[in-house]
Amino acid sequence: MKLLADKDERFKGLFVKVGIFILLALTGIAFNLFFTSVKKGLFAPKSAVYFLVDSAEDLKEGMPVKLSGFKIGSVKNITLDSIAHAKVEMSIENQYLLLLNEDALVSLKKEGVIGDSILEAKRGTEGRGQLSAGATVRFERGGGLDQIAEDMRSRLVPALDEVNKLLHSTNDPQGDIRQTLKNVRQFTEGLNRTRERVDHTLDQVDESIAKDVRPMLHSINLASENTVMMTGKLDKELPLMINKVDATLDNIQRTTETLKSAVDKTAPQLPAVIGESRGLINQSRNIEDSISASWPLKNIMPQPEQGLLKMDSHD
Amino acid sequence: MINPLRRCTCAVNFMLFGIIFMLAACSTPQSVPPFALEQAHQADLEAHRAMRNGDLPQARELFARALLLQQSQDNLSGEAMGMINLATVLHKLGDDQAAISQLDQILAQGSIVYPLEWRTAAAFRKAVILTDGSDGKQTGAIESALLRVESECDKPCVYTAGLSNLRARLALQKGDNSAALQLTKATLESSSAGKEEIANARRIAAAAEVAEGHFELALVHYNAALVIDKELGIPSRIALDLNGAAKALEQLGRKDESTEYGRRAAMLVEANRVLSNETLKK
Repeated sequence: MKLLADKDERFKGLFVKVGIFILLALTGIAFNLFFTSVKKGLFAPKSAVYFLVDSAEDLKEGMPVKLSGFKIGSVKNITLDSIAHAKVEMSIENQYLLLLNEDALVSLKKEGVIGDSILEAKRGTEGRGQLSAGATVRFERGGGLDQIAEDMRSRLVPALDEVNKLLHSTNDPQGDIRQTLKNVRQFTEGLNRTRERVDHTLDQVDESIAKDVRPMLHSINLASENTVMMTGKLDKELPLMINKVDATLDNIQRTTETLKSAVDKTAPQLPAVIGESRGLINQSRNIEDSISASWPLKNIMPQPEQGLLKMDSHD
Repeated sequence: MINPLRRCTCAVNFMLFGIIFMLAACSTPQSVPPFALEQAHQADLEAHRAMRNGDLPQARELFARALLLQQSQDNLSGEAMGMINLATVLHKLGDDQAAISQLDQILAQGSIVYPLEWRTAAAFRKAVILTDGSDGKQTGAIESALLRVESECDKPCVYTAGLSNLRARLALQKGDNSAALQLTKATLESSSAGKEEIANARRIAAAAEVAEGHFELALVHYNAALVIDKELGIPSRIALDLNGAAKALEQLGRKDESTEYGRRAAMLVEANRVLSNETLKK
C-alpha cells in the first residue's frame, strides 16, 4: 500500500524519474573523477624505491619526488628500521624509473626560498646500470635557506665562544696575558733599580775617585751581583713569557681558521640563495600578473601591457 | 493550476542540474599552452615593462628573445608581432636600418605566410620610420608603403587617420602647406581618429600655419595639442607643443609669454633627462 496516493496523473513514476536523473548525475561525476585520476597518473604502474636516513625530520608521506622538475612519484611510507634509522619508501612511476641509474641520488630541497619541501632525484652516473624496483638509493639533505642558516650558526657559535674565552683570559688577573704583563712590569722595575745603583756608583766614583776606591769596588761588586741576579731571573722568566705569548697566538690562529673555514663553506651556497631569490621575485611578478588578469581583480587593477607596441604616425 | 509540490521538485531538479554542470565545468582541466609560448608571453610582458621604465636596450633583448621563442614554435602571428615590436624598439634606439630590415621580412613574404593584418601593421610602421628619417628623400619608398597600407587595410581601416597625417607630414616636407592643412583638417573632423592622431594632426597643422605666417592659428593648434598630450602623458610631445607655442608667441610679439613657455619646456626636458638616467642606473 502506498503512503501517498498520486492523484495527479503527471506525478506517476516521479521517484523513478528523479532516481534516474540523480543516477545519471552521479555517473557523470564518477566519470569525471575517473578521467581526472587517469590524467593525474593515479593508475599508472609504480615501483617502490627506498632510501635510509638518520632522521625523518622534514620528510613526510605524500611528499612529491621530482626529476628535472617533473613529478615522477611520491613518498609512500616512512618506517623505523632495527637500528632506529628512518626507512623511506618512494613510489616511482615505472616509465620514469627507467631514467634513474643504480647510483641515483635523492636530495631533500625546498621549492624556492619559502616553498614546500620536495625530494629531487638525480639520475646518477651515465653508463651505470638501470635502477631496479625495490632498490635502495643514496640520500642527502640539500641546502635550503634554513639549512644554510643552521650551518652558519653551528660554525659561528664555537668561533665566537673561542673569541669570548680569549677576551675572558685577557681580562682575568690570574690569566696568561695579565701575568705576563705583570712579570714584564717587575722586570722593568728591577732594571730601573739597577740603573739607579749604577748611577749612584758612578757618582761616588766622580766624588772620591782617589780616596774611596774600596767602597767603589764594593759598590761595583754589589752592582755586578744585582746584574747576575737579574740575568738569572730573566733566564727563568723569559721562556715562560714566550710560551704564554705563543699559546695566545695559537688561540688567535685557531679562531681565525675556524672563521675562515665557516666562510669558505658557506660562500659557495650564497649564489644559489641569490638565484633562488631572483626566481622567487620573477615568480611573484608572474603570479601578480596572473592574478591581476583574473576576475574580479581585472576590473580593479591596471592590466599589464602586452602584445603589439603602440605606434602612431608621429613615432 | 500547478501543484506547489511539483513546482518545488522542478526547482530542486533545476538547481541540482546547475550545480552538477558547474562542478563538471570546474573539474575540466584547463588547456595549457606550450612551454615555449608561455616563455614568449613572459618575455613579452617583461619587455613591455622595460619599455615603460625607459630601458630600451633591455626591451630590445627581451623582444628578440620573445621572437625567437615564437619562431621555435612556428607561431606566425606571434612571429610577426615580435618582429614589429623589435622594429619599433630598434627605431627608438636610432637603428632605423635594422628596424626596416625586420619589417621587410614580413612584407617580403607577401600573401604567402604572414596574416594580412600583420602585413598592414608592418607596412604602416615602415612608412612612419621612413618619414621620420627621410627629410623628404625617400618619398618613393614611403609612398609605396602607404599605398600598401591603403590597399590591404580592412575597412573601416584603423590606420586612416595615421595615413592622412603621414601624407600631411610629407606635404609639409615638400613645402605644400595648403595640402598639409587640408589633410589634417580631414583628420580633425573624423570621428574615428584616436587622441594620438588628433594631437599629431594639430601639431602638423600648427607647423603649416607657422609656415604660412598665421601665428594666432598656430598657437591655437599648439595649445589644443598640448591639452591632449598632457592627457596622454607623453613628455617628448608636450615639449614639442610648448616649444612650438613659444615660437608662435615670439612671432606675435608676446615675449614674456614666449619666455615662460620656453622655460617650461626646458624644465620638462631636464626633469625627464634626470629621471631617464635614474631609471637606467637602477
